[in-house]
Amino acid sequence: MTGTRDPQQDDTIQAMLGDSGLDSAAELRSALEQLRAVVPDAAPAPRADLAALLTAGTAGAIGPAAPDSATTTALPTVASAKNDADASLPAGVTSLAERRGRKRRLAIVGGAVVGAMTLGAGAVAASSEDFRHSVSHTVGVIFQSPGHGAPAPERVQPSPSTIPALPAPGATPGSGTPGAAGAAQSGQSAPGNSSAPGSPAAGHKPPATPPAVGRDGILPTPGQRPGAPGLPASPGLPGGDGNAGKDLPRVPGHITPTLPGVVPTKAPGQP
Amino acid sequence: MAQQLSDDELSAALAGDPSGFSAVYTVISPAVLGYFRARGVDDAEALTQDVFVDVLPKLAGVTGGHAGLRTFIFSVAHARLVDYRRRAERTPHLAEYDPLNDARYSASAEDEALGSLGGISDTLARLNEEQREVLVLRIVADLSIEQVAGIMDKTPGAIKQLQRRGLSALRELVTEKDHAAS
Repeated sequence: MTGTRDPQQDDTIQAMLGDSGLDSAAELRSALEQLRAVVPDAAPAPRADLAALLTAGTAGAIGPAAPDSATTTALPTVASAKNDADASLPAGVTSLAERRGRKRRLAIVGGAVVGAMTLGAGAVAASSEDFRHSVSHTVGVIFQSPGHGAPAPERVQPSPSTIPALPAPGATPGSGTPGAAGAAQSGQSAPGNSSAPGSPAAGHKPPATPPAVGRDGILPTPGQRPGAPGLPASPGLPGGDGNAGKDLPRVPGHITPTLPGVVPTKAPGQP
Repeated sequence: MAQQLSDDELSAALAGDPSGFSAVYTVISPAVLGYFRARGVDDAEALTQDVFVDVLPKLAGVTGGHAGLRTFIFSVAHARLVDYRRRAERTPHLAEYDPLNDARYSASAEDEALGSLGGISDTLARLNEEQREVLVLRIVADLSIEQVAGIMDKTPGAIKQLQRRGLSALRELVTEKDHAAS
């Protein structure tokens, strides 16, 4: 075991054994030398890509620029374009990790915040009834105020307008009068613009609404439909607008004049 | 191992000049191959060539002369070995039928005698993973304690301790085997 084939190796092994206080262990030394013998004498024959790298190295003595791109011709070109952004990445690789992570983090944080707020609001609502009332009230105010604004004027103005409309047709001459009124209105509005949409609209409303209301005796529901167009009733609209404005103004013009006369008669009959 | 890198070749390789690549490969690749074989990699040559394909284009940034070059190459080899181990854990082991590996047959007396002679890898395989790594890096890769510490990301003191324990464990195994063989 004292063979010194390679003095340098034996030095290393000797030093290791000396460090560990095992200088006298002959078997151990032979085992370590066996382990060292695992190293082959010659380098393994290089693979194709490695051989290309090595031969590029020998050829590189002539032209030093060529060798680097010899193994990978495509990647460096791609890399040169993209590496401006992040130079630390290997050639042709763009990092998606940042973007992905940020997006996911945002989504998670957002979800957590919304969930926490929902839980908190639910807990408060479950604990106190006042809160529930106030919330339902505010929600009602919030959602009704815009919705309420539209129907409110309908009811206020048309309710009188619908009432007058009923008695006129109910008296049977009404069927004639609305038609005449419609014709008169269409005549008025027609000069303004398109007669085609105007005439059917005018024909429908006056005859349809009065009979329906008269039979059922339900004033508000059917009456409001003709009344709805009455909203824009303000005469200022028709002049300014185009076709859409035209249809609406006709009804109000017809309704408003009839209003005052009829209201008293119908109101007592209904209730 | 007997071969040494000349200073010209070393400076050429470290300057990123490809003319030094071939010299680096012929001098260091046997040690890398031996390192993979000692660690029981089944296709050690392929892994060795992977290491050099990876390492050679990056030699330009290496500092530290001979020792620095060796440390760099074995750092990459160590990382490749770790990758290999992790990959091997997840892939099933495929092997052709070999009657010698069939556990239903008992080994012959000749096989036992032959097996007890060599097989340092088998003995090594019974050591702790870190102790084995330290011993192989120290002896096969011929690195100093500081270099091994840098590669394994530990302090030199820890490497010394691992080496001492590994050597004493190996000694026990070897003497035990000698007694069993005799």
